[in-house]
Amino acid sequence: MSVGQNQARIFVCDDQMEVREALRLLLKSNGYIVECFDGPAALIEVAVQKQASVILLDMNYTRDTTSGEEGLDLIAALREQRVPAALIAMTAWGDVSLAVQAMQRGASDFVEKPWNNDRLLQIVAKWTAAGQVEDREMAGARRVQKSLLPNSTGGEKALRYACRFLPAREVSGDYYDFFEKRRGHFGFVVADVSGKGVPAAMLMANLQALFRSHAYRDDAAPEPVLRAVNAQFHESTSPESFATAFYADLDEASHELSYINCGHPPALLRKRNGEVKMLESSALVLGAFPFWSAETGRVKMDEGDRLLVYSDGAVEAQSATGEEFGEDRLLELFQNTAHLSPQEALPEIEAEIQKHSGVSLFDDCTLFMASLR
Amino acid sequence: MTKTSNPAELAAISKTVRRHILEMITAAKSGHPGGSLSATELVVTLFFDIMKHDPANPKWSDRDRFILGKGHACPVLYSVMAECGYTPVDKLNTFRQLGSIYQGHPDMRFIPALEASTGSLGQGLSVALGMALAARFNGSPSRTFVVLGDGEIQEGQIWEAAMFGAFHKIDNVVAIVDWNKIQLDGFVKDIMPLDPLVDKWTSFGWHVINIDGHNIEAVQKAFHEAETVKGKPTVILANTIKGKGVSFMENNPKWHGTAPSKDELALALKELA
Repeated sequence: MSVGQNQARIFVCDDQMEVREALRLLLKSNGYIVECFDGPAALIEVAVQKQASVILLDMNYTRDTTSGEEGLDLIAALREQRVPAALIAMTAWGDVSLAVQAMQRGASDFVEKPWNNDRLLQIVAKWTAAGQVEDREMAGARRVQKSLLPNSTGGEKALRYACRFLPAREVSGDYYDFFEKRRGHFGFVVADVSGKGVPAAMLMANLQALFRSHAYRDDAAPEPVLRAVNAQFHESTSPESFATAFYADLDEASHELSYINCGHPPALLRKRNGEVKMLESSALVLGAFPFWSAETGRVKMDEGDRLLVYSDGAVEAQSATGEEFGEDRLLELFQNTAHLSPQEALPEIEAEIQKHSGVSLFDDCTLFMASLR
Repeated sequence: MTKTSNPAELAAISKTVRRHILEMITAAKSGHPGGSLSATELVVTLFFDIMKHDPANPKWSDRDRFILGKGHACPVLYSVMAECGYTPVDKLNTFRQLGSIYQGHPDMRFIPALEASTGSLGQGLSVALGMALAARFNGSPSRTFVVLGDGEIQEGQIWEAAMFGAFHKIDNVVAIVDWNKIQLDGFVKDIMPLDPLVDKWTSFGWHVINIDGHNIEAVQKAFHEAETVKGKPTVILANTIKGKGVSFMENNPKWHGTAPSKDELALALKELA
């Protein structure tokens, strides 16, 4: 009996109690965490909430059925719900054509009953290991992405700020950065690359490199920086890849904020008296077109003014019933946390978004909040 | 499947079925060879000649029904159904394994073409009479056949069912007693004798046909006779030899419920070549 440090979770779905028990005992004694279900409905209910490495599923449930249709439907339903587990179909009524159909619908493997214990354990080990390799690689990718981002809180300068970076998956297509530019200027950007997951994260890395190579140019204005970023991002990405961004530069002496919003959700500027100003989009998204032009917005920040910049994942976070979190809720939270420092306020907003969207975020979400001392 | 009334062909199928029986019980290392081998000609003749059924359409409502009252003899039923095309022949050697469709007693949760899950001895005749009566109510030509063990008919429920069948004049049912004279670990006459068996069934109101259960022509003739009997149920008392076809198993109580070793299997298969 071997118990791994990271025990893989296995779901077993079979209408025969003795089959479930036999599989449970076999897998448990080989170090797996096992949960059993007596039919598709019970399995799906749990599988959409809790992750398993492998799901062993019978192909026939209702008495008098030998066709495997129920199993095929179950596989399709699990894939539709984006259940990431390896699905291993098991049946005593199997033939090649059923196995092929199961694979086409998204099964990873096919085991005939009665099964051979050693063979079954090999298959389960293969698929849990496959998941673990992927998990390790993704964890590595996440670390790499984290290192591409700056420390998310700061405050030595005129601005106190905080940032929350919440990937929908292991890695994110969102990007934020701060630039300690020439004396007396502080620049920052929040951007959102099209797509999600690994492809978006690779583009995000490219965007980060472009911003870092251009933002430190001895030029306070955002426009030349974004123009250069757009040209190179367009050159090195496919036409359907682009990024929205909110880029701003604060003159620490005059407290004037120069900003350009490139197709990004409006940034919210809250004046000390509670009035909120929307810093709307005034430019094309980055990377979609070779040409690009922008109007630079300018706004004066006064002591106690607060700025909230977010990516669309924050307002589009969906509840279980499909209801979006929405701008109104975000605005209300922004107002209600005005008495807190950005470091204290952002976790509260993040918690509300998480509470709304339940288990997992649908889209990457980044929140940046700053207040003028 | 190809049906046949040719006794030589039915005998050839019976030989194949006997080989399956021995191979699957050996593979499982457990099971009941004796009572499977004694009933082989009876089950083969029913499925390949007498019964109206369609493996491609197992739920055809007017099909004839088959019930194996002595469910522990399922190797003969599994082999015959597999040879008919209901289930895969190449999986017969998964007999008695967890997850196999070929469980130690017939289980319709695993093989929907089975008419009933059986093996709790004594119940099969009641099930068969119920199905036959239902067919009559439905105006269906379906007939029901039930194979009973001679040890099995010691059960009281059998005689309750026998009274019921005669009273309701259920003439579309045929009970076949696999009268191999051995039960469990000894001879029926030493454990609880059935004699006089012909008189018992006759006095319960049944039409009785007493035959050699290994003589295929006699078996065929008995089923044809049963079909002509109206107003009362028929029982065929098939005199058989437990372990029939394998010299060292024949008429030996040891082989009621013992699996052959690999060497014994080889010897047996040589006799059934």
